[in-house]
Amino acid sequence: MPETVYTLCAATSLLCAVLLARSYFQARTRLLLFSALCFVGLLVNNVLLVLDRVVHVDVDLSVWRSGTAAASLLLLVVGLIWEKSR
Amino acid sequence: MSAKPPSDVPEGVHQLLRERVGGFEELELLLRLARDPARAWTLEEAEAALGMNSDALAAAFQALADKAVIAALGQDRRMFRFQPESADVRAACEALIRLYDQDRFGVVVLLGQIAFERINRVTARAFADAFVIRKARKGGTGGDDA
Amino acid sequence: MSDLHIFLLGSAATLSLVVALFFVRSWRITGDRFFALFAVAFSMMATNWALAASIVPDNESRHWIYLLRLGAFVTILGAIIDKNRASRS
Repeated sequence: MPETVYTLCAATSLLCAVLLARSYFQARTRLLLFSALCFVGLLVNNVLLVLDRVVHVDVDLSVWRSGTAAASLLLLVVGLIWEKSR
Repeated sequence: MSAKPPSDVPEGVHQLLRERVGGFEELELLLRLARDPARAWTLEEAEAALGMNSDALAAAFQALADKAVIAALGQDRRMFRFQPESADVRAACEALIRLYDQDRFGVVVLLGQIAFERINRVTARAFADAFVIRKARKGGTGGDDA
Repeated sequence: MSDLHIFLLGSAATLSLVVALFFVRSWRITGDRFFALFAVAFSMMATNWALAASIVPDNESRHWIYLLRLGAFVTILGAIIDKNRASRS
């Protein structure tokens, strides 16, 4: 069950990243770029969770998981604060 | 003096500032023209009266004319006069003059808040519209305000 | 759980809450429920990471709190579907 959940979450993150990246290449606004990067990071975060759950790797992925989550959200916060007027 | 907008801004004035006044130069120009509605102004006369940069003033004249608050006169359209497109806009301009005379700083703060909100609205709209998978072919990018 | 892991989970939770507040502001400015849904989603993510930091399961992926993550991403999907339906009608 959790594997399905994390895969769904990863797929949703991928969809969001693709849609935001597509708009970024049209409009070139900072918020769209940083938002897209945030969802790429959340995609990685969800993939690491799937690896943790399914693959049971020997390496402790916990810091990588929490690090990607924190980095992703930081990117989005920076994008939201740092938006310039056009 | 606290940096707060006036507490009792009429809705007509708020709408005027939101929809027809794009910045401080337009505000000052509009007030000057509205105080003397019978007079026609050239760019040079306005520059001397307001002490503003001529490029900024020229842009402000054009912007206000485009928003149907003032009218360009003459064949060469180098003179402008206060000529709002409706009685409601005229009334809002008169109310804005009274409000500005009471609390000039508050009106400037309000204008800044409206400009800030306008930027945020545009930014938010761009973010939301990114998630529309198939954009409309005509008339914008879809999305609603539900 | 290492201190760094807990710190990063806490950071993610706080940042996610900040993002949710930005979306609340966008909702108030535009009136578009898309932003309300995103605010809910990021609030759920914030709760997910806050609980992961404080409950200290052996491994957060093996704990019921992953249902919060599911709720967050289902809400995001719902917001996207709703936005696309509205733009077509």
